[in-house]
Amino acid sequence: MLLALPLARREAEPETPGRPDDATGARQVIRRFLRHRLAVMGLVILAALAVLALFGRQIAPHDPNAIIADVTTDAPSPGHPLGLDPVGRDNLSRLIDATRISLSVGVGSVAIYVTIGVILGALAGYFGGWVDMVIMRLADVVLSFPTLMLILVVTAVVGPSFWNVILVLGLLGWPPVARLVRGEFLTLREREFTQAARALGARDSRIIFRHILPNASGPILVAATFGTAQAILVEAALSFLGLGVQPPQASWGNMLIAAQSLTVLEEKPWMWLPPGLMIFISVLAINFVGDGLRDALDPRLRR
Amino acid sequence: MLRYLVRRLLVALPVLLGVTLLSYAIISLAPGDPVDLLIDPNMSAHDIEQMRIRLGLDKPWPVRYAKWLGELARGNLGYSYLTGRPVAERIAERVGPTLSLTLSAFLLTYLVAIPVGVIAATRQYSWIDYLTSFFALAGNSIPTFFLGLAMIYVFSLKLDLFPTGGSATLGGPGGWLDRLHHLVLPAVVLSTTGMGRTMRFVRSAMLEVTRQDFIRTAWAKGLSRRAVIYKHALRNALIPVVTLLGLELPTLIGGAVITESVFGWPGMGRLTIEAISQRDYPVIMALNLLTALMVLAGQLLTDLLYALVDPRIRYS
Repeated sequence: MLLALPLARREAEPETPGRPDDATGARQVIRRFLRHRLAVMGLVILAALAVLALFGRQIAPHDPNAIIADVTTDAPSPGHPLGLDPVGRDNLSRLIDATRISLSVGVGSVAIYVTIGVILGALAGYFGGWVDMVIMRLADVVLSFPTLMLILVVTAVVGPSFWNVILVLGLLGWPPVARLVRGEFLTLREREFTQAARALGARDSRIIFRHILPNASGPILVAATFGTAQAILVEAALSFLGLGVQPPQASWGNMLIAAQSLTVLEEKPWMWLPPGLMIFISVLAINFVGDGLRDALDPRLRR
Repeated sequence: MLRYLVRRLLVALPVLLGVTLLSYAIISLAPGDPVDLLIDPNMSAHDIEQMRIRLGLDKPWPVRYAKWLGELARGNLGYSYLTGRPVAERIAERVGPTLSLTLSAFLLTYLVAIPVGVIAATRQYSWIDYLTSFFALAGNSIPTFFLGLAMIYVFSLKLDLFPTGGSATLGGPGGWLDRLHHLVLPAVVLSTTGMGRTMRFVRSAMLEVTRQDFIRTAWAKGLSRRAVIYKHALRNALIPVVTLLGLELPTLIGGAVITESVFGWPGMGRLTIEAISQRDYPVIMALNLLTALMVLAGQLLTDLLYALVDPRIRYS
């Protein structure tokens, strides 16, 4: 699902050969990342969204679930700049409250599936043989479903809710990560430093976690970033279809349910345009960051 | 080649079996009882029990799964819990609309992405190159359903150019022109996600090829720009693009669920949503099996096409 998007500025940037010693690996990565203008912009947007997510309750002008009774129109007004939703709740406050939900689903589900994917991929790549066989066939099975179909069926079956969406996305998302980690392990386990560690008598677990995994962390981080963007999109789609986060809890996806009515779609754009744009902007910002990270972590990929 | 094909099909079989086992297990282990949605309050406990036996729900799920597999081997996909009609019948009427939607989106993707990708590659760092990168990222970031709603808002409600949904005018004269008219918006929406990605892919494949020696040779021997770009470079650049076909298929099928819901398109995607909300498990099982089949067939087709476009690849 995630294809590397070779984007943004592609000029050949010399790796400042004059001062090779003043930067450690991490500092070089940060410097390369900061040179990627869109990625920095994405990071700034993401920071703003994080503030909204963390302090939304304090920032929101109204209780996101309270029904406003003292205004006569649901159109935008000074007290309610984005108007009211079909139930009569303040749209701006719901939009802010939904930020926390959408970002939590993105981060939470990816944290789960990256953990599973790293463990399974490491086992498959490091030990090979029948362990590899079993794990990769299992990954094949999960990948043979169109992901969204499987997620739809499972969330419907276990019952749609905020936590179930995180769990389902988390438990079904691991195969691509496992494949990636397995590939890294297959090459890294043959490298000299791994053989040296083995020759020194290091245990398997030490070789896996101390020697190989840190060297594979770049691609994993990049995959996790793009995965977060994807998870936010899937949560929004599920919630839009009524199979995700359930009202009254606001999520950007379920705020768009209102637009399924053609009258709302045509005459009340304030009800559906802002949440749609929020999804778009946050996913775009995360994709920018992922792009910048990929370029910064692996300069060989630059073309 | 034939041996390769047979081997691939034999490998696909256990994967398919795994898909059905996994879906059956998930559906069966879930809390909630499909019978609950079918009974009416006047039914006695005995009637409910009878219904349970009729639907085969009184047996443990591994037994039911084995029975389901046995029926499948005889070509029977089971019967809908809700209507009692054969599942195959219910799905058959939905296959056509979904195929016409996904295939049009597919065609649209490549008809636009290949030429634009080539132009972006031949004019690297030009405005069109930057436009494609923006389009690729934006297409990958915009939620399908939001894009669909926005398209309906602009092109149907404001400009009144296209219908808001459905696959044909109700009670209208019908005809292919009417259907095409209904197809435009959903096909454009469905193709957006993959289009940007494919453009970038074509672009980088072209860039890679144009740096190779045989292209320099082609320029050196005085071939026209057209011959070099379109005959020598593009043909070779399309080889990796073929792999993308197989990758895009699951995305398209998944995306069809959302697109069909937004546009009221009477295809398999909407049937999925309907079957899910009705807990019509035999229909869900059949849909899962069918989509998994399509994904596997797509992967196999990709590998075969790969050998076809690149004579260096030989399967044995």
